[in-house]
Amino acid sequence: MKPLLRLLGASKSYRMGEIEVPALRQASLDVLEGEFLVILGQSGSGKSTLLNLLGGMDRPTAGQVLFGEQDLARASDRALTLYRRHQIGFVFQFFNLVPTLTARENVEVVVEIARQPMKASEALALVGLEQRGHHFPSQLSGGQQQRVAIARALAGNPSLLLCDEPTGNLDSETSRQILSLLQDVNQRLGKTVVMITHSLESARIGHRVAELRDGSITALRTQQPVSAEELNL
Amino acid sequence: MRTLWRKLGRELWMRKGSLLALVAIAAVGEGCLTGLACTYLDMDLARERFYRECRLAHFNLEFKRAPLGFLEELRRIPNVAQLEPRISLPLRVEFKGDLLSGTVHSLPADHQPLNDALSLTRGSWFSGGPGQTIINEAFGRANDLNPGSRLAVLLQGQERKLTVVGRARSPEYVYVISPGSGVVPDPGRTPVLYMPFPELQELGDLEGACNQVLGTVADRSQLHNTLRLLQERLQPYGVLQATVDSEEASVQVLAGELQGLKISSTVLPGICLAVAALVLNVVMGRMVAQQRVVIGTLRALGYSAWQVARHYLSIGLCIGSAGALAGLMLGIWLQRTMVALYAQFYELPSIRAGSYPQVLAGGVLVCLFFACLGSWGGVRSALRLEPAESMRPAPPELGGAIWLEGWGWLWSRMSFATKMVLRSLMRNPFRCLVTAFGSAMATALMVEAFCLGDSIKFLNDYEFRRTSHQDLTILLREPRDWASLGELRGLAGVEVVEGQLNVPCDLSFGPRTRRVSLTGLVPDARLYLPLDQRGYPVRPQAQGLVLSARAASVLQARVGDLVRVKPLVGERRENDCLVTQIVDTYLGMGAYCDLAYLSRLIGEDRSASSVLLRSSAQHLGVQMVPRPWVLGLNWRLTSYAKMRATLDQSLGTSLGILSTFAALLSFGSVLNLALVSLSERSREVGTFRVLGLNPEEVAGIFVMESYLLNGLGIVAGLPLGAVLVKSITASYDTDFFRFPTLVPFHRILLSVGLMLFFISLAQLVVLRMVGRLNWLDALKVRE
Ligand SMILES: Nc1ncnc2c1ncn2[C@@H]1O[C@H](COP(=O)(O)OP(=O)(O)O)[C@@H](O)[C@H]1O
Ligand SMILES: [Mg+2]
Repeated sequence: MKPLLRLLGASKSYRMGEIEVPALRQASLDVLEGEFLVILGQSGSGKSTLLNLLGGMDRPTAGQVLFGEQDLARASDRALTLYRRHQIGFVFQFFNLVPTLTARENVEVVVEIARQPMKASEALALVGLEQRGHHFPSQLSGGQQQRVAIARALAGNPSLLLCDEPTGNLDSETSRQILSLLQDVNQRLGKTVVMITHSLESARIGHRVAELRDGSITALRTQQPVSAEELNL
Repeated sequence: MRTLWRKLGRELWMRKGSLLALVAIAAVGEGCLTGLACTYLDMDLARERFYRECRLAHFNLEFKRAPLGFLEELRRIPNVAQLEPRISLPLRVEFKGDLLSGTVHSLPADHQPLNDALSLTRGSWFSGGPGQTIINEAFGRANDLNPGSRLAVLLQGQERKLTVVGRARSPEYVYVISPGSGVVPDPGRTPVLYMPFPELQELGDLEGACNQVLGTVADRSQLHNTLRLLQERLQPYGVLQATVDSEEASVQVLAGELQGLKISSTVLPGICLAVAALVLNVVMGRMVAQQRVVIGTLRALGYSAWQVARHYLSIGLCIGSAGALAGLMLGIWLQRTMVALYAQFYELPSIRAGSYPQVLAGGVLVCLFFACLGSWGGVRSALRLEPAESMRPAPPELGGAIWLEGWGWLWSRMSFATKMVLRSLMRNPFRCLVTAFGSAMATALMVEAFCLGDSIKFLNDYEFRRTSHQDLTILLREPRDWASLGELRGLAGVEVVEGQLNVPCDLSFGPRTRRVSLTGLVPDARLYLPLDQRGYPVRPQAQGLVLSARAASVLQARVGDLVRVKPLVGERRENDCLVTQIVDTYLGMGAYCDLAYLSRLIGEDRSASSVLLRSSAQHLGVQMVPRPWVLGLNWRLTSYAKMRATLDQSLGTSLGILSTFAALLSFGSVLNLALVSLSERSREVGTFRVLGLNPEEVAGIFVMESYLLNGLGIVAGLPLGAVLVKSITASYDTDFFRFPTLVPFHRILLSVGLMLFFISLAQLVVLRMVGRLNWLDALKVRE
């Protein structure tokens, strides 16, 4: 499989007044087309930082992030915006739905700016929420909200889905459903998925697992993915 | 972006109450701007048009008598463009048992004069018969006198029956202040009549002569020089009065009014829009802070920074547009109301609420500009927020509370609520300033609203109640010997009789000369006593001159200076007179001296030009009719009551509007800022509720903060209000009266009380919000 996105010796540090806090140290990682990649690490290990670099949310302090020929580390704000708009779908731990928009409208937020979007209803049908389109986030359960978020991420037809602890705020049964949905997205829709988790068990659903410790990738292993239904969360 | 508009709509709707209050402030700002600016234009255009079409004379010279042939000589004076003879005589109108003093002016028998032409409202020009008169519109309207009505007048001692042929307005009498009517015109008692020139020549014993010339000059910048030349030439004919148009009472008062209107039309909107922008700034800042994660999410989803910023800018613009729209309607209403009000006082033929699209468009633009200004802070922070950064919780704001907390002994003694309030004050200095600023401005407007009315009423009271104590003033056609007035004392019911002598005089000091009306007072005057600003009566010494501050400043004379006094009537004996006192009086450009002294200057022994009576007699008016030397009567208390009613009505309207605006301003800003403060601390509110505090106790914390800040604002607003009152009253300063800047204590109390009331009203809303706040949710919210 050929790499969709390549992280080459990427570092990221934050200035906290006088001191530099390194969040990511010289990380190199390929995201292969069509794979389900899990990034595993404890809180504070730099997972979100890494995901932000992959998603064009942030630029590394050193190193490269290659998307095809394009180096995101040197891309303009505008280029990054377009990259996020057309290539990336984000799913967040706290769902991040706009509270004053209905489920359907939350999806439409993406539909309106995407190049080749799905219909909002289509995207909601993919996550099994076609009936709940007119509900506001506060009227939906956590799991349902996360499904809407996934529908939103898919609606723009991105090439890459980036999920930052998508089950971090959900109970085990709901988590299983969400993970299963993501697995579906990967297997049936053929989307590349990168998922962050701190749970060893959840990590079992990926094709590959990159382990992050203290900002460094300490291990990268390939594994036989387990179906989300079989996870013991 | 359709969906984002939907989001915007819902978010605005959720905050509709407080935003409506904010919209109201903007609307008031814009309404005042367009409404007052349009009123100004209406008035200014009507004035300009009237003066132009009816050719307001540039100058006006009154003298005793000059042959018409002499005018040719005057016309040859360089820069004199037009010059026309006129005859003006005092006259008495007997109307429904009352004697009204007035003026009659001559007009060419068969055509309009070159200057000060009339704008006929009813009837026609003279048709040739004897005894025809055109009367001024306001007088006719007030007394329902129409073409065909008959009017009994006394002219040069002769009784005449005149027939009204027309009613007209003159640019000379747009605003008619008459002696005895105070600040406000009393058109029904102020007749101005017009009669054909030949007829007045005959009646006034002025065959082949005239006693006034009106005219225009070619170069206005040389007007004063030309007038001086004219005056020199006319000197042998006894010049009584030489006035340029800008010194005319009517012109001055109207100009003052427009000046005041101009100030109001910038200050008021300025205040409201500034407060609206500042409050919007805080509200938008809060909104953006609250929606930090939404902003980050939108950026993550591929929205550009500008797209997101535009979304927040449109929130501000929506509020601005709503304000602009409401403001337009308010402005149109305000314009109508103000123009109608002005039409009551100013006799301009075409005062009409016109439409000025460019003003309205300008108002909308200004309003939107302030909305952008107010949104800018929020929009900028939305623009600056890095997408990755926005996903993390906002760094806690550490403020200056730290230094206070350093005073351990003090800090530990404070209640937790006090600590919270202090922390929040220290951490949001800008918001605190805005809160205080908002209520300072509202207080200032409130003070202005109340005190402006007080100033005007004070002046009215001052003239009618404090300086005057007579029941009746008898105006005499010309100064009369005191001895001949003794008979008045014998009339049944008359208790006190007091003479007063008003003589137009030129006062000169050094190179400066000023024409004033010098008032001679009897040493034991009781019925009329001018007062200085502290309320002490002014009693001129036998040889001394008392100058009003205004006259003194024009002459640059001080106590101890010798001022030359030159009377313009009688024997005109010049005399150097010692300035013994300068009083800051409210009634214009006056000067006072002893009656006997002034009498001697005009070659009389002791004479009076008006007589004040204290009397319980019933039918004095009728008894005065047979006395031809009586020019008119003024009944002090009747005039006073009438003026008072007029003032109450007109001031009631305008000041009512003003105080409503002030109320909206205070309520709107207090409410919005209190709600922002509440929303910022909804988590703390939630915590307190969990800990078992009831809504009142929690709201108490916010109430304390609000009262503290707004209290500071109120205190700061009081002097600001005084400044505002001063600047407005100063613009109404004329040679005829000056409004005092009064900020009486009870008005301060009233303003403070009302402010506290509106602040409390806003607090009630806050209390309700605390009660309704879903505090469990608030605890869950991750900000
Ligand atoms: N904006 C920031 N400023 C300062 N430090 C940051 C910032 N973002 C992340 N960090 C620090 O970088 C490290 C990695 O953070 P993050 O990538 O969010 O970890 P994870 O997602 O694995 O919990 C942490 O120590 C965190 O405190
Ligand atoms: Mg993280």
